[in-house]
Amino acid sequence: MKSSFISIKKLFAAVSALVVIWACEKSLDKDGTELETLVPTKVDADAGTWKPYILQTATEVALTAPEDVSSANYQKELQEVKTAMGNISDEQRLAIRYWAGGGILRWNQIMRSLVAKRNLPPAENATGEYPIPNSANPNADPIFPFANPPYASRAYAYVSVAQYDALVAAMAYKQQYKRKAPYQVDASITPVIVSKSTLPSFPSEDAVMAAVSYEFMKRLFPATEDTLFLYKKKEEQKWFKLWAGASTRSDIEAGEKLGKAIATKILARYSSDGMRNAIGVKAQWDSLSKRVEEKGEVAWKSLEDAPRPPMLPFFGNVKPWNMTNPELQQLSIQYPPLSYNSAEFKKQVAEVKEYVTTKATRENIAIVHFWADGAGTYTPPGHWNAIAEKYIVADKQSEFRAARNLALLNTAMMDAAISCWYTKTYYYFPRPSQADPSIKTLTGVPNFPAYSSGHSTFSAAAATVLGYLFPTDASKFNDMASEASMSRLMGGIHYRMDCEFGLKYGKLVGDKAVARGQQDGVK
Amino acid sequence: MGNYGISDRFNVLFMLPYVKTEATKGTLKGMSGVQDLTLALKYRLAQIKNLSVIGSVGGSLPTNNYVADFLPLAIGMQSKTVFARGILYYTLPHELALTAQGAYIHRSNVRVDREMYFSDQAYFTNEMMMPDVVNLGAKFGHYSYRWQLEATYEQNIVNGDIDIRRNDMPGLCAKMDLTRIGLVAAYRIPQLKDLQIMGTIGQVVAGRNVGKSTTFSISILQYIDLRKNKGGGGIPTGPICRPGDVNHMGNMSTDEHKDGHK
Repeated sequence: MKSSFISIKKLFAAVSALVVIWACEKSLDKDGTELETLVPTKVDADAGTWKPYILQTATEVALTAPEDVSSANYQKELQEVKTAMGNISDEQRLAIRYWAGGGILRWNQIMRSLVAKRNLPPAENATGEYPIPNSANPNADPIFPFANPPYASRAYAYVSVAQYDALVAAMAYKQQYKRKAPYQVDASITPVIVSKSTLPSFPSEDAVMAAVSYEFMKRLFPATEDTLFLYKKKEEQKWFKLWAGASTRSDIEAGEKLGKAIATKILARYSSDGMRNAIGVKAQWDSLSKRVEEKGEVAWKSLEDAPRPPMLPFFGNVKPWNMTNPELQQLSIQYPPLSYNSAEFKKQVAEVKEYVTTKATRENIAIVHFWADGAGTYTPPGHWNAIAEKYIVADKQSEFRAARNLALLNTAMMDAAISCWYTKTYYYFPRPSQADPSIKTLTGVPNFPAYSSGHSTFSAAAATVLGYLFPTDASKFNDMASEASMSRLMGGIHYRMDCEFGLKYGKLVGDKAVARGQQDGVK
Repeated sequence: MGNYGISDRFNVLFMLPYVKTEATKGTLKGMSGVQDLTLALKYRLAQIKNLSVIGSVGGSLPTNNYVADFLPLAIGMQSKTVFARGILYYTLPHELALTAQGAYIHRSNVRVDREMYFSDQAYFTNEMMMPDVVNLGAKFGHYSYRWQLEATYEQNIVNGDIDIRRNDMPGLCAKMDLTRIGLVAAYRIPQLKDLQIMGTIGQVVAGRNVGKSTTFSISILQYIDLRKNKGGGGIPTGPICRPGDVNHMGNMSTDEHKDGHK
């Protein structure tokens, strides 16, 4: 008896010790940002001839010729590179490893992180009103921005376009000046971690990307905390190739100058694209319901405890990328929804009810949550950027090609947001839970009209562009888009018509981006 | 839940709750289902006069793939846990007793349905890190075979410092700390073959990332004596985690009693 008690005591001690050991091993093996060092399959040396979005020509922004590699100044710079390489710190080595994964993909990850961080709707104040985040006072509550899907689509699009135009310009000057990289001038230099690119190194494409991305993103995310974080990332990307022995100071300084100047050009479009009028005022919001009610239809109402004005109801008037506003408007209202009073519509309401009750299977809920991309996430456009990232990585695309492909994708999705928001405000159609309050949803009810589905429009536009860029998986992208679309019906927040017509609208928008992609000189 | 007494000093406990949630406000749908199976071993390590020193180890496993990433309407966290708990039980005159306990709960990471989330930063993975938990508590009360009346105090401390952001959906890995006080009353009904009926009330008085909620529970407990050689004159010797029952017998620590279980 006695001995068995002792052994149980030992067992207790052993199990307790095990608990303590497991407790110390807590971490995530991967956070999803891991990227191998980029060695592109194609260097895309002709990228200087590709068609930019905003710049009239690749060399619209002037860049003074560099000094020759035989000059005393360049020799001093080479010495600086060697000294830096000799004194490389662990922190610098980490930075090199990080940025060697590819600047375009890194900035895209950073942007998706910031969108997720700032994708929180403002809370109502004591009087039940919702304060509007103010870019002029970004640190005050509510912090600027509320990075909702339209805001995010615009952020992804502008940053992608700015990076693309800046890289086209960078390549044009690389080919014009053909200044060699440090390791091509001095055979004693072997770059650390980064690959030996055969491209000329003036101006540094990393410094160009760093400058143009930072100049743009600090406007998109102006809160002090975010800007400081972005500044740190910019400085890292700007200098890492010097620490790694692949760029000199003048390569970098010229790159930063060029990137900054190009950002200014693109900011001119950004500040006048109609975004400032996207929120509107109370009188405008009221007129939206009135217009629909006068037609004998039922107008959308906010379902929140303290009713909230619709999210960016006039985003549909923002300037699109791949068509004009009149073209977009015409495109966006060509398929009207069912009449609220029709028998067919009642059937669609019943179908939603079925999806959140008898058809709310575990598999369906997984689909709803996989595609929800709601508050606190990188939004549906961010999700499609994450999908695109996998393909860009697998293809080992050069920075230039990655920038161009993300620009096509993200301009298509911003156009999808503009188009869809135009449709939503035009028809101002109620959500299923407004039509039938007994419908309890499996994901949050978005605070804007139902018709047509934003997820469907974004996803079809993205799938169309990705299908053009990666044709072997075109049908896979379409399947994903259909699933994303259906997830909103399964979640109980959209009718079938929202999803099906959303996909149709998205395809039309995506086609416009593909048409551009067919004519931008990229082979 | 159940509690199987192997001997006076060794118990096996198990629990398998069915949980149902519903929102009183808003449009979100509630959830329901069978949650996690908990198994624990409880052992009295020592008896020093009126002080029982008790140790418990155990763990829990989700019994099915219920949705976890839908707080506050999810029925559970989908985390596998292992825990170690130490309990000091001190009996006082007049059938009063004082209990102090502390536990460390290790929780495994959880896989959710989506491939990104934001907690303290953005993560581009479906794996959520689940911080471990320290749980401390104290109880004081009257314990007799017929009656149990106690006041409880509980402190839950989650590792890390991840807060739920305003207007965000609550994340599984949030630091959901709380201090809860409560009352427990239980009575064995003679007319119903000593079926025990128990009521509890708990109030969160302080916390972080948790609501100031009040919880009520009512439970019934039936004691089933499975021994071949039933002792104690028809009055069951209760499981040791309810030492009040045993104390009623007044012979918990005697050698004769132990021998009776050989």
